[in-house]
Amino acid sequence: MRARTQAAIGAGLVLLALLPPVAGRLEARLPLQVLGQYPLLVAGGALAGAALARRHGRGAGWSAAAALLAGAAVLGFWMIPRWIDAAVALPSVRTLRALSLVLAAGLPLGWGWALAGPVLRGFALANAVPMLAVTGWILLVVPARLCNSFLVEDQRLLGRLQLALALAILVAAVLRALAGGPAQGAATDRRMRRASPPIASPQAPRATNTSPSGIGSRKP
Amino acid sequence: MAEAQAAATGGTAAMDRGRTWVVLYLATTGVVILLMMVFGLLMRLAQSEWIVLDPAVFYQLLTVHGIGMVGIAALGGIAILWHFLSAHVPLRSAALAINLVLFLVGVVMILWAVFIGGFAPAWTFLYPLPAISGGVWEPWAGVLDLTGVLLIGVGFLILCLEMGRAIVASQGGLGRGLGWHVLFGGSTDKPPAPTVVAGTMVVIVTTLALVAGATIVVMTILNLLFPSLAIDPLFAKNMIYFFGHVFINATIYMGVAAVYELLPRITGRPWKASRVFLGAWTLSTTMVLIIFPHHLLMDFAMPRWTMVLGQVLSYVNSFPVLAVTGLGALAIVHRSGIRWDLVSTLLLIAMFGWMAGVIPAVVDATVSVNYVMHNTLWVPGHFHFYLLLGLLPMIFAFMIHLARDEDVTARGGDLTAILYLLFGLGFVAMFLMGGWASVPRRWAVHMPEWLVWDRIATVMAAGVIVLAGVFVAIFLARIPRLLRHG
Repeated sequence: MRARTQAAIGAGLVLLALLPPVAGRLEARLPLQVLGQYPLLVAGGALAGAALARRHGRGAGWSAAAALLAGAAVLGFWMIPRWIDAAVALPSVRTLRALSLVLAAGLPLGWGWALAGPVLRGFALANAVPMLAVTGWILLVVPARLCNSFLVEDQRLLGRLQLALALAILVAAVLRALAGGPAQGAATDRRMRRASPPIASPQAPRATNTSPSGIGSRKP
Repeated sequence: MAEAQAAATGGTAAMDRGRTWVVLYLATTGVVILLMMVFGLLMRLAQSEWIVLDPAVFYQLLTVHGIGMVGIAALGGIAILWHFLSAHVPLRSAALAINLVLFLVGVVMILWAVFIGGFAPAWTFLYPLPAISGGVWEPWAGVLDLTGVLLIGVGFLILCLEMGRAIVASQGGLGRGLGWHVLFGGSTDKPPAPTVVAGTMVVIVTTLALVAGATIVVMTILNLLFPSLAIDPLFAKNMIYFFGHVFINATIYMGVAAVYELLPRITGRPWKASRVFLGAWTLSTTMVLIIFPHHLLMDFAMPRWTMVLGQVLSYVNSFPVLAVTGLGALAIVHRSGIRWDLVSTLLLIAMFGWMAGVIPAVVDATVSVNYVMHNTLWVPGHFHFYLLLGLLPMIFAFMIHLARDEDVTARGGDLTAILYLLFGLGFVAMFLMGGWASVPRRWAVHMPEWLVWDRIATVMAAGVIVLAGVFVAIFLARIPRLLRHG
């Protein structure tokens, strides 16, 4: 997908999340707000962030981890019940939330994700899953109603949905890793053969007897 | 050396084999294993009434011995796997460095929590014990201990992700790393090497275990800080045993790389990844994730189907990989003209310990037996068998192999290995006999009728420690030379 198209789709998602009839419905229920409106806004910013990274991210791989951390922190902040309530009560906070979910959460998340290598992406997912599950569990077990603006049933439903989402992300990530992609095996194998001597394997039995690190050999 | 080779041949520094780090891992492993063994000996001495140990100190030692052995088994196992896997897939050794730093910081936190904070609920930290200490420890000690566990888990997660990345990049996916293209797709491509198959399995199961472990550890920390956040005890136990069972099981699958790589080199016979071999590893990858309910056979509130699953799959789980590895090892050794020495004998002991250690485990996973044996010394009997005579000989064999500059020429020393086997067998047999006589596990003070097993076990443990000390000393003495060649 071209960067410009990607950014346009991102803008479309943000508009969709903020359109009065849609926004009104999404903000009416806690699960819809957190698992509907938030992802639309974050995804909108993330698509723009990924497009930016594609154009200007060359050599900025060092910023991926910090960007992911910053985006996650902002997203986490807007999941605090006190600020969910504030956004419902005060239009200024609601506007600030929308802006920051797009610009301070989505944008860095998209930027960081696009620049991150597979290990950092895996690490981010492996952290997201337990955190989603733990916050879901908190919403389920905490004796009090956390948001004044929403019913406790909504809180419990959001908790259950977060647990389900955590499980879904985990399953999807495992399936993705199992399926993989095109192997770089051939090229890698050639480089490996140059980088270190062959190990004693089915192709290198007793006669060669070299070690993986190549420093050992059988004495006569 | 590998870096120099890589530079000289146009390879990249990213393909260094992490040899220096592997040596440091093994040095740490050796020292900590000996320390944990001494802690174990102190507990057996106290149970034998040969020394007096404050029960509070006994439970602190029990906690550190448990968590320490689990962590160090993983550290030693991963060193073996990394060393051999890095010959097949390009790994970046920075992950080894990060893990070791996190591991050591985590260990300091755990030791502080236990010996200064008094935290002693055993390594399983079963809910609600961390929060209900009866005044023995403060909540901060629990938080510190569990944060240490969390850090160690993060380190191993990074290692697993790095190995997973390398396998996906070089093989085309974890499925291909398990050889599914050959097993299910009818592909005529060369199957992955046995070490790659084992590494793929380790990556899958350990990552899932660590994610579950991180979840329950964070939940427990939150419960310690905010007691109103109550955890469902049955859920907590399931999560802890899923994490714990899979993680400790995976350590032997890490270590088995030594068998797959060294026996062929010693005998000159290749170890091929046949379709049966690939099928066995796929079966074990699946089953190791779902058999943990055999730890909960006495929890009446568990759904009946999970108990059935736990018992039946416990019977089946170990056999595929054990059969292909055990029979494969025997086939490679049989009439190979092998001259037995310390390394090859330790590897054969490891195969025996793994195969024989499974038997008391399977026996205990039978509901009617578990009804009697649950929480007796039978349980430590089975996992000491498996770890002391299965995993540790793999680690010691690898240490000696490195200390000999990876030269596989037979040099004797097999008598030391046989002595280790005899003392080890005597030690675990005393656990099993204690269990057979219904001696409870985790008791600081034993009845006079039980002392005979305790005292024999103490003598045997001393012998094991001396011999393990010999293996570790051989390795430690060669470290300066190994690091110079690093």
